[in-house]
Amino acid sequence: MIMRNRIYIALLCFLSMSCTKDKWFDAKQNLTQVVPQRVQDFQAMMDNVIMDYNAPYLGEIASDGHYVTDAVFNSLTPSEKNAYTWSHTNPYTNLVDWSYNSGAYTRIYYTNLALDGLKTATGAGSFDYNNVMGQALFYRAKNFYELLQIFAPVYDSSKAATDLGIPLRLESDINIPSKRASVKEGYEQVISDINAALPLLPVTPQYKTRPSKPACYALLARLYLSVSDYADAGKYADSCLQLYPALLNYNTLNLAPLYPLVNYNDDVILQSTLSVGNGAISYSAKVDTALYHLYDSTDLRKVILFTPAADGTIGVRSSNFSNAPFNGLTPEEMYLIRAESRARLGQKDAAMSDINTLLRTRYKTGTYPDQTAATADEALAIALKERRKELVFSGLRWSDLRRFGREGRFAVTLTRTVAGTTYTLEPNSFKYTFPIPDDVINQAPQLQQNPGW
Amino acid sequence: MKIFGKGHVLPWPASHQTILAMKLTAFLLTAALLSAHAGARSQSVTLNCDHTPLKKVFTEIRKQTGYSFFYNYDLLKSAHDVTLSVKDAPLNEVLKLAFADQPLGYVIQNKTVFVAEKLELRLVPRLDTDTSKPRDISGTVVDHRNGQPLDGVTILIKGLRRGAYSLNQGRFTVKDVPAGAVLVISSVGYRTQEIKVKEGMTGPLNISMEFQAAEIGNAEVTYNTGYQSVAKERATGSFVQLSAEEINRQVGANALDKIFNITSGMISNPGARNHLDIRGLSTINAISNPLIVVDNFPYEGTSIQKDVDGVLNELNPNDIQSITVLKDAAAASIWGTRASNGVIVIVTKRGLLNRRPSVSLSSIVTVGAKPDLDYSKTISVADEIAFERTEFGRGYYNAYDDNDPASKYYPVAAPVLELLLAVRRGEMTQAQADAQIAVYQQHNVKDDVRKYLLQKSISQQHMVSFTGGSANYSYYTSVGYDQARGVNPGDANNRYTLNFNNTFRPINNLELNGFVNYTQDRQYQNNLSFNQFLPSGSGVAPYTMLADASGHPLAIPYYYRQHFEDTATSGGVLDWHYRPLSERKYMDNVINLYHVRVGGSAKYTILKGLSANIIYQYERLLTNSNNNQSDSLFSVRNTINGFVTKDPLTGRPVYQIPVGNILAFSNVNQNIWNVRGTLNFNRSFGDHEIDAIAGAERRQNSSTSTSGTLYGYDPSDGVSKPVNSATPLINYFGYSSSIGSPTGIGGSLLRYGSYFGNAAYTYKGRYTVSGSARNDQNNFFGVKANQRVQPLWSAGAAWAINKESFYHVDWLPYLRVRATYGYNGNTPQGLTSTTTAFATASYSTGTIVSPVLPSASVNSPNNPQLTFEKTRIVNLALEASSKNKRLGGSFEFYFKNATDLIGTIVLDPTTGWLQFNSNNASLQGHGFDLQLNSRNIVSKNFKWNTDLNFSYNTDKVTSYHQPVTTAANYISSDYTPVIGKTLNKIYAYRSAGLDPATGALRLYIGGKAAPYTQLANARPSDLKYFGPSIAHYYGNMMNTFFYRRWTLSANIYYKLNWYFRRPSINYSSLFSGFGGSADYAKRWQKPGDEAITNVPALPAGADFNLDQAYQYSDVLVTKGDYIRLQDIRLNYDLGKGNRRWPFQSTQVFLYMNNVGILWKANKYGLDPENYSLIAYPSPRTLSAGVNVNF
Repeated sequence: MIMRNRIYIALLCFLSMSCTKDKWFDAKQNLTQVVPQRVQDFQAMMDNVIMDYNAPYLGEIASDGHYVTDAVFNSLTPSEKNAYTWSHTNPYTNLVDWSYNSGAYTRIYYTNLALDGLKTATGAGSFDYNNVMGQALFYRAKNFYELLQIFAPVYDSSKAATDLGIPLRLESDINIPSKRASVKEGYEQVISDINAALPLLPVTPQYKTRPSKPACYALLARLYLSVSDYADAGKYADSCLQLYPALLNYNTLNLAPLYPLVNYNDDVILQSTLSVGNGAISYSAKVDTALYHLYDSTDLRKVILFTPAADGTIGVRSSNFSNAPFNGLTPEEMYLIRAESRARLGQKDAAMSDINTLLRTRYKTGTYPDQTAATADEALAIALKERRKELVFSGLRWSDLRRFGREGRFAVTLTRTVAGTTYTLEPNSFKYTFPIPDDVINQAPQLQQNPGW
Repeated sequence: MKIFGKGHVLPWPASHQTILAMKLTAFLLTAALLSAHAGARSQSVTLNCDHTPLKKVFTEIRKQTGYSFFYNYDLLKSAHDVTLSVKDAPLNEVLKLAFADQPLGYVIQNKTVFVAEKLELRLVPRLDTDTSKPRDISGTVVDHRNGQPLDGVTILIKGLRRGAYSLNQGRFTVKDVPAGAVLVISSVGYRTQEIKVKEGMTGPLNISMEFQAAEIGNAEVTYNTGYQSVAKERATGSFVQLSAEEINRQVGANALDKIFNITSGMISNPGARNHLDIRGLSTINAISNPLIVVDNFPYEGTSIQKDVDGVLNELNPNDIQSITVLKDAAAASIWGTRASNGVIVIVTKRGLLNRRPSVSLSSIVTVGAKPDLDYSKTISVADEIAFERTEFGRGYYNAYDDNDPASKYYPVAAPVLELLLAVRRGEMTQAQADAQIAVYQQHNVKDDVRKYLLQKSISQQHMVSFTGGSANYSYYTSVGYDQARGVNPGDANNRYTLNFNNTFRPINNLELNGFVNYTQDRQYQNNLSFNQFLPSGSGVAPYTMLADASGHPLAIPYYYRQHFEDTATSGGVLDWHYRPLSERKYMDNVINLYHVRVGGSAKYTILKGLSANIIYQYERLLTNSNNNQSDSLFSVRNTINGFVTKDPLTGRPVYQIPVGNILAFSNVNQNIWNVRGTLNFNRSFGDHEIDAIAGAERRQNSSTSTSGTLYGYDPSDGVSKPVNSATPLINYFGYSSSIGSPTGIGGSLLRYGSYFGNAAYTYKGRYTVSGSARNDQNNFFGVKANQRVQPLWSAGAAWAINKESFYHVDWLPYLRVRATYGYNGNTPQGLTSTTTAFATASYSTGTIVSPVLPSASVNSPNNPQLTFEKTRIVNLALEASSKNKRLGGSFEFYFKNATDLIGTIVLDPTTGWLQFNSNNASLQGHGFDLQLNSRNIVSKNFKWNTDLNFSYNTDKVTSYHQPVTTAANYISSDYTPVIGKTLNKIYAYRSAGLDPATGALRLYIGGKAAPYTQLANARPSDLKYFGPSIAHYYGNMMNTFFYRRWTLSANIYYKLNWYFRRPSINYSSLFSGFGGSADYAKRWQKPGDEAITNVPALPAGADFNLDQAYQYSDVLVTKGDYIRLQDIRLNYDLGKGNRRWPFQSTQVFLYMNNVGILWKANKYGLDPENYSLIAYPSPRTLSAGVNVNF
């Protein structure tokens, strides 16, 4: 009897040890590591710096207005060399702008992970929940849009439904194979994501690194401009300016520091910078003297953006604080879009009013005489010239060159010389659509290469 | 007084059991003699007892007389209580009274009273059959080693139940010995011998007893698995056990250092990824270190010593009783998902019951030679200076001035170049420069390094331990102190260890154990590594002067160009020069480690053979590092200067980091607890024997860490100054740069739980079958609970062939075969942040956003199929031993198949990920371990033993999804998995010789000789496969010689069948001014040289392709095979105590480690374990030690 009791006691001890709830094993392993499932986890993902920097930059490298010396060219990565010379040298393996170094598709994965996770997260409908969901939708739209500018052909309503666009990844499951959607589907996805984000986002974000309603309108304005839908472009630029009209007066800047433009200036609607790369743009690049001479001597941008070297060449001072070129959203860009839209729609005075409002903040106080235009075309020419000057190195030039080529009206032929070899980019060339890198096609053979490459 | 009659006769009939008891008694006697200490106080006793237990009487007598009592605990149960009253009575009288009615007898020897069963005193009948007349035989017994008389030896007449003890200088007399009788002379610790009494034999019999200490150890070998002890003769699995003697033979502060070279199937590969491996690899990407278990539970060491050989740094090796290595599935599967890489089980010392108190002292001092700087063949001073002058003459270095400072271009220029550039700038005449160069010509930086930056290493180990035990209590206590200084002055550490281990038996059936283990280790890291100042290609120019003629430290070009440091210094920043020799006195970097391990166990015997056991252990590790960096240190001045900007208005320097000391500190606090409950069943039923264990356990390992950096720190008042680490700043060079986050915090929590069972059944002592199973759970991966369970099992069988009735091989009395099959698991601990079932994210403090926001980075995409790595092992073994164990050993053959290994899959980048870890790889391996022990010579005074280990292991990657596509992939890392090849291997470009016209290297590309410039076109098919880069055959041979009190042993260690890339000239380093290999002198210089050299001609400038092609070409692949004399130990045993020598045992020894290489396959004078240009062979060390017991 006593023996039996002893055995029972021993067995009881074991059972009490082994039958502890398995919840014990649900404790997280690392203080700084989580399985993201709370709204704040997704917010922290959206606050990751990768959302704000390394925006696709191959288009800017391929654009005009700057050049590099042969020595700098040799230091560039293979994909930068290809972009600079509009070439496709095998093997074309570089994944820059895709996933490499937290590129666009990495950011898209983050947004999808957040959007998938939010479905089961608690707090649906709360301000924070909506805010994060809006941010994720916005960022997905922004990255799709930026990829469309580089890897998909320019929007042509007659062919958009059949032209191959980019893979539209809308879920975080990596086992779903990618396929190229049409250009039309691509733009529609961007627009629908922005429209879904709009009601969720606040007018004034807590930080300039987070999307907001004005940012949604600004991105829509940018998108409609690139598809040459000028009425909508102007409309959304106007919607943005209704909410965010403040311009930055360059006369208030301290010009003494190396980089007079600092982060999160008053005019920044949303912070974003291009990838710096090895310096095909930005600090190692030289500026076309023709572009440099577009600026008047009393134009403050001439000293803020550029720095003439002793040998007579023009270097880059800054497009914004430090080395990374700014490509965020600003009211300045909205004034220019609205001005162009108004000019194209025949409203020359309204267009010039926007131009004058902007330029007053760019010239030394008292040195800018308001301009007028005799015709809408003249207003358009002035608006495009000011667009060129204000948005230098912002990554937007590539989209402009693409649409100008399709319209034919302002088309230009680009040339470059590297080590004695001259390269040319004709308007409407297939080269305006970058090839899909071999490393992508190797892993996903179902993705068709762009025509011409 | 004579108790049992005249002389030392023991005239009681000796049953078989009694002989055993006597053996035991004699053994205990020996043990007692080793530790006898108390002097007699008095021979007279005063006692007043009334029904007092006999035990208490003993205690009282011991108090009064100092005589000790020795008895079996069970024996005393039969004793009656004592009633007596004496005053100042002689001891003998008192004992006589006390034992009067007892069923016990006693004998007094050397102030010890031995109590034994009383046997009936009766006359021995004459053997009438014997025609000869019986007679008394006397003699003496001595120890054969030293001729010392032996007391307490039993001399019995075979077949009769009587005999005698040797007493009083080893003398004995056996009464009435029949002629032709055989005397059996035995004593525990000595070989039993039989002497036939020949007819007519007269005179004293002189008997010499052969010492047999090792036999005692072998008598009952048990393997400790960390869960239970498995008797050797019933084990089915593969174990290697190392005793305290084997561990202590080599000198070292870390236990693992002492077993690398003597353990079958275990290899150390310095520098390789799998540094320490047991029977090869079972994983590709996860941690490959074996699990280390100390006293039942995994031991993880402190946070700064995660390298496997550092894990045991806080454990004093002198406290170790034994180390068992578990090699196959049956041995290790009880450790479940942590067993794949093998398990090393360490058991620390405990007290033994019924053991006289003893004190042991040991002291060892080790002195190591300075590293041999002449071993690495680096470029000569003359060659270097000639090279610099020539290249300067060609204008190669003009850019150093032309681009400086406009492009902020400050490459380090060698001192001669700096002089020539100064001449070019017009700051110096050519004659002045030449005069200084002439001084450099006479100087070698190695002389400075030897003089200022090297010292002999010295280490000391001191230890005192106390152990003993009574019938129901035992203890072991030790205090250790280790002190060491390395070859780099300023590198030192002090370690204190404290150990208490107590075992109680408060009631029948219950045994309690409690222990406390404390270690405190202070490490001073106030040293410069000397090898960074060697002209190896990454250090300094070979003629660099570290000090001037009077020994004052000189500035050297190291981090920046000297010209930049000279000019920048005048610009208003802190002195930017680097003077290595003045650094050390400003260093104050101390790391304190504190490690406490406390625990206890309770074992309750429920019924015969069945017991329940609960063990608990708590560990706490604190690592506290404090690096107070003076503002006189270069690193501090450099940090501060790096963030100096000029005020645009005043032009004055603005210090963005305040001038002052920089304090970097970190604290890591680890708390680990373990609890385990087991039911043990161990019982024999006739021919059947069952040994089983089942239980459950939980383990939690939590750690938190904080670290920080304080700027402008004043150690006198502890005040520091704030810095702006939130936003990027413009640094001295005009770039944007951030001051790193000043504080950091981290934490981890690992939880493990498992159920396990293990059972072995033996029939007739011949056939054993065993099986084990285990389920593991943990909180890794963030997987759902039901997916975490990982059942792992094993099965085994053993057959003792020699015990079969049909077995009649006399010369091979021991023959046994074993076979096991089963699975071990591996938790990919090192990969947990990127290998998870759910997508996980890591939080960090954002850097761009202001105010700083928490930022989360996704570590990996989700992988719900994720599971543990598994290794299936088949082990087949044969054990045999010849007669008298003259030749014995084992041969084990095994296959391993590791599946579900974590491997990398390349993904479509549009998924957002370039690659992904999942269970997609596999690895196969096989090998054998051969162990041979031979007693080559066994004679009275001289013995020679040889122990040989020979192991073979190979592995092959059988699947891996990350393709190796380019030749550079094969070359860049020896660990890149290639399907069908061993994991650690060497591929090389095929050299096609040097171009006869230019001396440029040519490679075979696409089957044709091509200039090295086409390196990028090389395809994998152009490479030559050599073989493994870690040895596949290895082992050791230990020879031990015994001569009287001397023991000499030497260990030979060897590694065969492997390759390494020997270093040669790297022209890029040479152009950078950092020297390089002496092969420069052998370079191609004129047509025709290609016939006598493989060293390419000097290129026009730094050429990455050339260096890459040459460094990884087949001409530099060298065979690594070697045989080395690892160490020699000479031991002298001063023997037991006598009047002149008060200690019970004393040993002194000399030990030399890293003696030298006996043979090597390479012809370049290279030690294959240390072949780089900054390496040197492990310096010889000489140790002297003494070990005293009393």
